[in-house]
Amino acid sequence: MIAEAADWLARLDAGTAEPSAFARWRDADPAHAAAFAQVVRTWGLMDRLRGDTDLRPAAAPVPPPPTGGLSRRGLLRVASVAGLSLAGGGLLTWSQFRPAYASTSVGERQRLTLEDGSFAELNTDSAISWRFDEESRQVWLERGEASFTVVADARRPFQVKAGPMRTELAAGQFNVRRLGEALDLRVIEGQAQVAGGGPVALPVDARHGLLVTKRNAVARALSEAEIQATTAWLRGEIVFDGTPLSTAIAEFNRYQRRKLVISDPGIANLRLGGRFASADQAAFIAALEGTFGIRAVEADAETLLLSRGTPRHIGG
Amino acid sequence: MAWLRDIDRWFIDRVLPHAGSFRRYARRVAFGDQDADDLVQEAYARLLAVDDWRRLESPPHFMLRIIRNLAAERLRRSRVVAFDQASVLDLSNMPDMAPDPFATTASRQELTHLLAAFEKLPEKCRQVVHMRKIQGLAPAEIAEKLGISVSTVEKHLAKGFRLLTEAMVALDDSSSGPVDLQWLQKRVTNDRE
Repeated sequence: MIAEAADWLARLDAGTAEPSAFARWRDADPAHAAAFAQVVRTWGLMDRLRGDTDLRPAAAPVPPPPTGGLSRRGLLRVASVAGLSLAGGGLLTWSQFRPAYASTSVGERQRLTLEDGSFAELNTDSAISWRFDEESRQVWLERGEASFTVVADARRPFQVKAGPMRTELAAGQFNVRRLGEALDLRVIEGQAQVAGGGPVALPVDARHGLLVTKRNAVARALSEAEIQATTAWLRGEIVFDGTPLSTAIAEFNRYQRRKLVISDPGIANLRLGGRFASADQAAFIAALEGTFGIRAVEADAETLLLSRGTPRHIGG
Repeated sequence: MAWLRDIDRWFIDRVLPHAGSFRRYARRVAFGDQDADDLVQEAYARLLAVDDWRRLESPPHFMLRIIRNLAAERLRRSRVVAFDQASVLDLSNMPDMAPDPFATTASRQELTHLLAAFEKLPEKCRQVVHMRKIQGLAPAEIAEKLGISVSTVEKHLAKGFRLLTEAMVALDDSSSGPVDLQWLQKRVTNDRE
């Protein structure tokens, strides 16, 4: 009975249960209602654990991904490093070590002031966790993209970790983005040291970018236009400069729940320039229509198909 | 939680915090722990079927009466009655369950017990419960982060809360609040008499 009740609660919580079906089940037998109430009470008690600094449980360690690659699970493993290292330690000490956590969903942006006065800003669909102690300031970029404005602290290096990459940031401004298994670090101001899997740390100067993959790291100087494009998202903008349409759309889609999909291969390589508000899909589509004669047709609630010419109805 | 009726909220706030006392009492009048658990669950169902529940002065005390009556019914049907069970069925031996402001919230022991149960959850299950309840992520976010479906997230949550709730139902005597300590003292006094 408890099992059935827990099942209902999980489905109601996820919004996948039909409320009237639930009400029928509950009303069919007071024993159902009793079981459900007991599960709800446990549900509420877990919130108490969350708010209790002494009893707040550590994150469960996540098993390594089955393949050698860096999967989503791999990313998450980074987030629970603190939990892993404390697995055998006392629970009462957990609260001192637990990382703080922040995330944004698609289309959101969030600015955080960290304990040392540094700033972190999260771009769309991104997550970081961080833990500052007496010896270091550690930040994990779990997904997406973040901008860090770091204040100097000679005693405590500011480290940003993402997958196998370890970066150490001096005072300055930095943009860090995960690109699948790779990491894109751009130093706007200041200097960074980057270590991949190996022991050698690579210095990256101001106005330089470093693309780190599992195999290698490529550093290059950034033009003023690239610097502007890199930081455009902090102003809610996307800047394209001779960008292929397929790339531009992938970039724009990061900010939108309703995705644009190219249904006409002939338009994928059109080059696009300009400055767009990342939140304004309609204006972007209007620009595509005005410039290239591209039209958007709604395929379903979450997809808009882009093609050139007159939209055709599928299936009559 | 929009899916709770008034009676459910009342039951969660006024009755369930005394679960440890019900179980302890049920153990005295039942045949073993499993039977005691069944007795408490049956009493819960009876209580939730009471029409004028709003007029009950002391819901926990009313619960004990239901447990007592259910146990008495069973004892009448059974041939063997343990001496101890018969004496506990005497109403004068009922635990004192006067309304107690402390008992309406969870005790420290109860939360410690919950944490211990949480740590014993299967790994995946524990991870999902942690993400949902401690990190406060939405089910869809959890699915996304773990690369699993929302329906799988639901299954882990359902299993986790089944196991956690079962652990809470089986909560041991020692984990009860101030009301129970009072009752323990009274029991000790009664036993001496």
